[in-house]
Amino acid sequence: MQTSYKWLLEWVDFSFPPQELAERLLGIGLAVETVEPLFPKLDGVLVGRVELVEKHPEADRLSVCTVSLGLEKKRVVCGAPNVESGQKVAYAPAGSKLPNGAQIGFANIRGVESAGMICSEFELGLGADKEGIMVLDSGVVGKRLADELGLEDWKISVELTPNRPDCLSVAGIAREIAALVGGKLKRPKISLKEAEEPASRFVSVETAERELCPRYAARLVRKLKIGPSPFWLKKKLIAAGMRPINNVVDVTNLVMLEFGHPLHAFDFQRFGSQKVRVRRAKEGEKLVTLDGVERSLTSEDLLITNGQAGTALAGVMGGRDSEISDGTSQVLLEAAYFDPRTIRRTRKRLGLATESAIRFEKGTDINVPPLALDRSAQLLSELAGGEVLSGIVDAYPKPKEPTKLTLRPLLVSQILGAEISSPEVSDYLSRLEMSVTPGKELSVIVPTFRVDIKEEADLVEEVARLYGYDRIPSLQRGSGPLAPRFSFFEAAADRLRELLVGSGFSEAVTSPLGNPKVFAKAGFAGPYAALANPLSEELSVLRPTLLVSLADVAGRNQAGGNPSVRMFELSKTFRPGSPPEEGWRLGLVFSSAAALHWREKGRSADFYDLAGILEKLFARFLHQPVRLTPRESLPGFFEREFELIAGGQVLGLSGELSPEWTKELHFKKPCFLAEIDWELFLKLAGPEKAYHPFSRFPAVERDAALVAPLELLVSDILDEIRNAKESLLESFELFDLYTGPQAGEGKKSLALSFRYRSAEKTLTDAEADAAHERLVGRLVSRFGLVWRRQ
Amino acid sequence: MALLSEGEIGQLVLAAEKEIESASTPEELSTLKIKYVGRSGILTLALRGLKDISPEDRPKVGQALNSAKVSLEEKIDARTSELEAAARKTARGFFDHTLPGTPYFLGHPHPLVQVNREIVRIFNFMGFETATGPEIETDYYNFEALNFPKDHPARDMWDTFYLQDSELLLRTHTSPVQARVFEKRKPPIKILAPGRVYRHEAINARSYYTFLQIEGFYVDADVSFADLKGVLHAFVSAFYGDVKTRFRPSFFPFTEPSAEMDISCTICGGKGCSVCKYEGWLEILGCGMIHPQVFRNVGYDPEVWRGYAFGLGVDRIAMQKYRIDDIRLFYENDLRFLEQF
Ligand SMILES: [Zn+2]
Repeated sequence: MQTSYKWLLEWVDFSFPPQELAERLLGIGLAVETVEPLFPKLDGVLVGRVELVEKHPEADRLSVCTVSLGLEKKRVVCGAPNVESGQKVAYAPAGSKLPNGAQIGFANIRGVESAGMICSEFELGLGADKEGIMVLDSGVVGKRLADELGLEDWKISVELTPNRPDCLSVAGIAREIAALVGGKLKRPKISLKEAEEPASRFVSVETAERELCPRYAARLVRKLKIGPSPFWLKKKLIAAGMRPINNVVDVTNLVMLEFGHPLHAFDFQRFGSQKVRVRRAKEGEKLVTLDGVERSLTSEDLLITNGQAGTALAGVMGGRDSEISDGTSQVLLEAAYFDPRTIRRTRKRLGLATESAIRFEKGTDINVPPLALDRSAQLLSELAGGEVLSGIVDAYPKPKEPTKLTLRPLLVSQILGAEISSPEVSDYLSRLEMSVTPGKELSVIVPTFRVDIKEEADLVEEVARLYGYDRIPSLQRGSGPLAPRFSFFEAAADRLRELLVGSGFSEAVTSPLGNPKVFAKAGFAGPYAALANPLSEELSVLRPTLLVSLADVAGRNQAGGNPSVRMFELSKTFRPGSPPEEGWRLGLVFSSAAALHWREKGRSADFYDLAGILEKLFARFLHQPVRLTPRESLPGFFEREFELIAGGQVLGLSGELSPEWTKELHFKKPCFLAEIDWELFLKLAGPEKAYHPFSRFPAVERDAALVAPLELLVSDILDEIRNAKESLLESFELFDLYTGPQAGEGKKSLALSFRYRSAEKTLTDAEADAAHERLVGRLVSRFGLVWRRQ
Repeated sequence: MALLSEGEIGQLVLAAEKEIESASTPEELSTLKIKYVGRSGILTLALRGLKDISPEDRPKVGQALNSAKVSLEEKIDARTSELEAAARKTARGFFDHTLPGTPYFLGHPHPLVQVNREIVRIFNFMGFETATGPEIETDYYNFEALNFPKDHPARDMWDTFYLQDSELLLRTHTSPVQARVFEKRKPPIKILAPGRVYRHEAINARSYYTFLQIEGFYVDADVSFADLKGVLHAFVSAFYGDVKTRFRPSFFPFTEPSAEMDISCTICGGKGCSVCKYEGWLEILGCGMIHPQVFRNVGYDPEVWRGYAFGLGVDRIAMQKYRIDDIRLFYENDLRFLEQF
């Protein structure tokens, strides 16, 4: 809602300047967004009177005007067709400057000396009219135009929460100010002269949908003359951000802005009958609205008809056929109440967020139509010379009673935690035009414009607003549970971050929405949890995997000049279903060039770097090794793909990105990825393990060089060592691997180191040797290895 | 070997010292050591011959011989270390201690997650327990249970993503966790619900279609707006330090009274700057007393229980904290950005 400072001052007395008004309104919940000058500064411009208009001797289209400024007279050349003697005009003297930057001076126009200029609305920044000069309807000659027209004003723009449609009006905001200062609202005085003839002789009103249109009120005004509105009215519309059109339309808009109730004006001669009938539209029924668009309606829409055809889309937009035009002389004024949900559905379906629709859908005051009609009729008779027929034709079979509530003053103090006495509570509510009957429980009658107040809690908020939120104490009394309760999930995620960040992985947070085509192409087949109203196809489904977006981010980083990329993400993935599946996954991505460092002239990242971090992760959380089992992968995302297995369960997958995707995602180096079902993984994690005692006796180291068939998996040998459960074996390591010609055709040479230690005593060489013989001998016979002793 | 007088010992020491000084290799010194103090060195032999000296001279000469032996030994050892150190230095050649050190790879946590954890921990320590809910929600939990009736204009406060072929949506806030927890448990309840939420909004520097939110709520027999202010003040002082707060009325369908909390701008201290749009205040969170209708919807008696709730946007707070002017940076994951945290 937009209004002006001076407009508010017409409706309520208050003494604070615009900026302070903004702060005070913010304090009671009306967020003032901007306070800015309504019009540009017009310092030098004066009110002048055209005394004489003479033809320019050299130019047909120019006039030479004598402009009186009271004591002084000026001669001004003017090109406007509408200049006439006797007019009051805006005169910009030589030396003044217009808002568009034009510097006014003395000019010689085709041989005639011209001192200053008579200005148009447009040149003054006061409107859109540039056809002719601005003719003033008031103002003292010789005085500053800005003072005479009240131009020094501030546009006040309030961002309203959807519960306060009453404040979509000057009256509403003024009421809030009145409540702040404890004052009274000053409503405009209505003195309506009506003709003898009753309106009901010419028009009847019927509503077929009492639920959707519980009230329909109308007035008839005839013999009126369409023309421009006076400046005072235009100024208000401009302040509210609306465009002046003509006196009739402007009056309906002004009254809507004043009271918050939308009105509609039909050209009654083009209405098509003498009967207004409100009904639901028929499925597929057509109506051409004011904007010239043919709308196809549904039975959800409410239609104003002339008994036959639609004449307006109720509460949303009028019909083109009965639109006010320059030839209109009879006007049917409508002020009705329409069901907010119906208006909202129509508004949303047709995308017509008109000033009228946004007010009706939030809820208007059903008891304001007569007032709005009287005010409009009065203005139409004053500004358009209309004759107002007597009476309002009003279909309002079941008048709405104001809401009655009870409020326990003690409850106010309990909810707010501030001591507020019963008389104080009554006072705050009374300031908001509520009628309060005191007692142990206050009985409160809520005016019908406050559609948001429905129960006791709503009244508590009203009291709190006026009492002041900042006056409510801040209480730290350690109420409720005091002990922190940490979630296992969050603690595990913290440990995970420590491990990965410490291992050189940076955390990514990538888009949870993605492109179904890309997921499908990468081999993560559907179905996907798809959005009905996506922002774009690229963001139209919830991701089934973290790997695609994570690889994308990693590729961009590498292409953008970060040769080493190690990233992880802990986020959710989704699959449709009832209910849909969503679960936490851990994604890892790894791709790096050889380090550019004087000492580390090493290698670039490869498969074993990924395997290493996975081993670390499984050892740290699950206290068990991870097994990577090859999986047949379809041509797509992975070149080599492995299932990650621990505790007999598949916990995730890992692999090397295929060359096609490596290229597609702009990687310069091979890229390795893994994704782990984090929830399943944590299920295996269990509680922290107990402390494991260790031996303080010295250890004995023994190595073994073994020649094995090339295709024997090293994990088979390592598992066999573990399975042997050699009690003296403390640890072992594969410390060398050779696959060259000296190992023999189809062979590889492995070097293993074993550490033997007893928990009870210092081992002798003989005891260590015996254990070593047992263990290595077992490997030799199990796999047919050759043990190369020195 | 003839017996030595005190004077002769002195002369011997002087001569030996000269030889030590002029030795230029550890080997020469080793020879000198053998010559003077070795098993058959001059001084060793002289000590052995003490028994032939008259008993009255024996202590004096003995003492002189002993101190000469210790002194020469020390001198030879010191000189040997000196020569060895010099030799090591020559062998080592030039040592540049300024070469770049071995690189250790350290990753960086994401700033959003970091700020999220920081806030959650503060509330954990005030007794709030973490709870979670699904990101794909029903209309009931996201709206209806929270007192947003169907076709109500308040639903326009949050533009919503809906799922195809179902009544489901992507939650627009973490508040549905309230109703989910209330259905399962009885007060007192003190919960923190961090999580991802979605809004059907165009992507630009100030808005993104998803962000992290943290919801907190407390329900008990005697909870007031003053308690809400208290807990939020405690949070603000833990997270921001010494800042001013401002509470102003607002509207959320699931709280009544509702409020917005602002803090004095952490950048300019309230004087006005581009971060606070020259207002001196930063919007931090929305909050209020839980609406009685929410309690009725989950079967709590609003005459018995009262509660407060608050919700804050992690992305916005992280942007303020690190003065990030483009929200998209969080989701781009450029390492040049991440490595700053
Ligand atoms: Zn600031």
